[in-house]
Amino acid sequence: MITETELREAMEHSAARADQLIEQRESAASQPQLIDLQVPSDRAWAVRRRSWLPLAAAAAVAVVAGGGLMLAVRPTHDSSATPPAPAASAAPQRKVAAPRTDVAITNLATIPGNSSYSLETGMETISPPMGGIQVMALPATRFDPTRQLTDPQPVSVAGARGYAGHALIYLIDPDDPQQASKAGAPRNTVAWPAGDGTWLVMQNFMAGGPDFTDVPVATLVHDAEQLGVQATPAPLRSGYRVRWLPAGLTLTGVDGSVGDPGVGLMLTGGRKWISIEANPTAAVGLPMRDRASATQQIAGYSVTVTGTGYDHATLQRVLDSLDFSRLHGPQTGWWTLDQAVN
Amino acid sequence: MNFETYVTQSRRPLLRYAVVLTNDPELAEDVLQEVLLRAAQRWQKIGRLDEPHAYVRRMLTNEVTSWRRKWSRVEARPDPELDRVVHDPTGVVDRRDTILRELSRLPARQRAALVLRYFEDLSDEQIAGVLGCRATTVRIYIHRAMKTLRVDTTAAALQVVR
Repeated sequence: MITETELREAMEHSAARADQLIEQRESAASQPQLIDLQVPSDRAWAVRRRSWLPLAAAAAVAVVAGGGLMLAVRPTHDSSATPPAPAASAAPQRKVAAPRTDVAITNLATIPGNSSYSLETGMETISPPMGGIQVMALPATRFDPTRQLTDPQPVSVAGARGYAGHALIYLIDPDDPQQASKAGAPRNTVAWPAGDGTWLVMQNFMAGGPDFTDVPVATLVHDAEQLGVQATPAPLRSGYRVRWLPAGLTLTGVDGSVGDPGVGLMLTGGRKWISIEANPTAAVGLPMRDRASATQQIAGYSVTVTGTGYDHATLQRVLDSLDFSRLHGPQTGWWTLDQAVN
Repeated sequence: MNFETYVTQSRRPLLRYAVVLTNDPELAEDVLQEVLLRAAQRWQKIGRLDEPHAYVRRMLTNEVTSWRRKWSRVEARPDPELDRVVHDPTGVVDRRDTILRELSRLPARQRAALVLRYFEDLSDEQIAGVLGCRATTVRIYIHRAMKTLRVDTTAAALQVVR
C-alpha cells in the first residue's frame, strides 16, 4: 500500500529529472560537438539514437528552444546495445541457522490511526495519516540532536524538551557522498524525546527538488503534538513464516501497518537481496518486470517474492515455503519476526 | 505574450510535467518539442487565449497519450541494476522507483488523470477539460489508477492531504 504523499513525492522526484535534462542541454548547447556523446559509459546501453532535424526545421526549433532547449526529434529506439546480464547465481540449498535478524523485534513506537511503519538498519520510520511528514523513532544510542541537527534550537513539544534544526531527509549523513547526493536539501527537523530513551524525529520527506517547499518548524511542532505517539513498544508480528531461504541472508527490513499480518520482509546478503510482500488480493499491484520475481495468491493475499542475485526457481522455492497457517488466526498467534525467518 | 517569451517561461514546467507523464526524460523532451513546434505554427491563435499554458498542456497531454499509442510496442529499457546492487538502506529510493514504474504502466489516460491531479494539482473539472471528457470519467480514471497502484484511499489518509 502506498500513500498519496508517497505518490506526490515520487512524481516530484521524477519531475526533477527534467531540471537535470535542461541543465545538460544548456551545457551541451555550449559544446555542440559533444551532444551525442554525453552519456555515462555505464548507461551506454540505454542510449537511443536520434534522427536530427533538417536544417530548416532546426532553425525553427532553435527559436523554440529560447536558450538551448532541444534539437532532437522523434527517437528511434536502438535495440543493438545490450543491457548487462542479470547477476543470477545458483542459490545455496541449505537453511542457515539463526541469528539472521538485525532489526528490532518490536516496534519502538506506534501512532494511533492509519499509520504504517518501516524498520530498517536499526531505525523505525512511521508514516502518520497526514501528508508530507514522517516520523523516525530512534534509540538514544543512535541519535544525538545536538550533533545530528544543524544549528539545533530548543523547542517544547507536548511539554517535552526537544530540538529544532536542519538535517537531510532520513537523517542521511551529509558526509556520505553516495547517499547525500540523493538526499536533496537539508530540511527543517524537529526531534523530541518520547520516553524509554526513544527519540522521535519529524521532518518533511517530500523530495528536495528546485520547487521544494519546506514545512515551517511551528507546523512540525504543531503536527508532532497532534500525533499522540505511543512509545511503549508494541509486539511486531508477521502473519506468515518463511520456511526456506537461501543461505547468507539477514532480515534487514520490515514494512507493515499495526495489526496487519501481511508485513513486507527485506532480507539482504551482500549485494543480493530478497523481498517478500503480502498484500490483500483486492489491492494487487503490477509485477515488476525488470526483476526476477514469483507471485502467487495465497489465503486471500497476493504474495510476491522479488530479488536481485537469485533466479526465478530460487524465488519460487522461497514462495512455496511460506507458511500461512496462522494468517487468519488471532494476532497473538502470529509469528514473531524471529520465528518468521528462522 | 509572444511565443519566445512563453517558451522561456514555460518550458521547464512543461518538461517537468511531461517527464512525470512519460517517466522517460528523453521521450518527454521529444514529445514536448513536437508540441512546441506545432504550437509555434499556431501561436497567433493560441497566444490570444486567456490561458495559453492550459492549451499547450492539453496539446502535450494528447500528444503523450497518442505517442504512447503510436509507440506502444517500443518500451524503454528497464533501469540497469548497476546502481542498485547495494540496497538503499533507507528504502525510500527503491520504493519511489517502484511507484514510478507502476505509474508508467497505467493506461495512458488513467496515468494522465493521476498526474494532473497529484502533480499539477488540478480539479476534476480542470482535468476533464484537459482530457476532453466528463469530470465523472476523470473520477473513474483516478479511482482505477489508485486501485491498481494500491494507493491508500481510506478516509483517514485522504482527509489530511492538501
